[in-house]
Amino acid sequence: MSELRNRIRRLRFDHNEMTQQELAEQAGVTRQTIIALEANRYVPSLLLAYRISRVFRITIEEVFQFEE
Amino acid sequence: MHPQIRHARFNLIVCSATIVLTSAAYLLMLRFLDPQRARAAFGFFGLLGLLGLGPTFYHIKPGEARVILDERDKQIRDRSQVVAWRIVWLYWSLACMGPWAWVAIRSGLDAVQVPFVPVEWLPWVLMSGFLVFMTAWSISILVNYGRGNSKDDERAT
Repeated sequence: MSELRNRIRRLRFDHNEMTQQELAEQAGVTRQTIIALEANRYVPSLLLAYRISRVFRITIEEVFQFEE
Repeated sequence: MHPQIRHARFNLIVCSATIVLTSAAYLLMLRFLDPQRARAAFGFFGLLGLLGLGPTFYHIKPGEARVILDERDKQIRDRSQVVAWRIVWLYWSLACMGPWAWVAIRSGLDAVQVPFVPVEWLPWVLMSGFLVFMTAWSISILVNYGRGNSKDDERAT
């Protein structure tokens, strides 16, 4: 079964301990969606994945990892 | 709490109140009035008009720049709508066949005579279908949000 994992929680911590609310505001989503993403309960759209990687100023592959 | 969850809970309360009050009033009026006049109890279906207050849950204060509904919320809403349509379709299918069976049984299953369903039943089948749809939609939204999210949602960071 394939899965999309992410390092959002780690990246938030590395970026001045950014809160979920701050990330949500910058990515244009609700905090609940960030919570669901961090818990790997929600697979984001490509657009949202790009927006989140832009917030951290890194590539999309550095945030999201595809696992088979 | 997310506005869509509050909206779903509000819808559920309105639908439940409508079902309870209509049933209670009908049964009560049936005791004192004839069945024809007891139908006045269906006036409680007017409570469903309160569902029109839904948009107030998504009100943004002037100057406030927060996201109310994002792609995940819209996905949950759309998925729940599909579930609700499936349930209401099943309900309507049964509601359209049920009265025929009821009338046929009451009229003694006469094979020659085709039973007639009173035309006044149709608006109630439609109205109750709407009630079933809103109830199923609200429950489905709450179930989708509730899948292991409740504890995380309370977390501060």
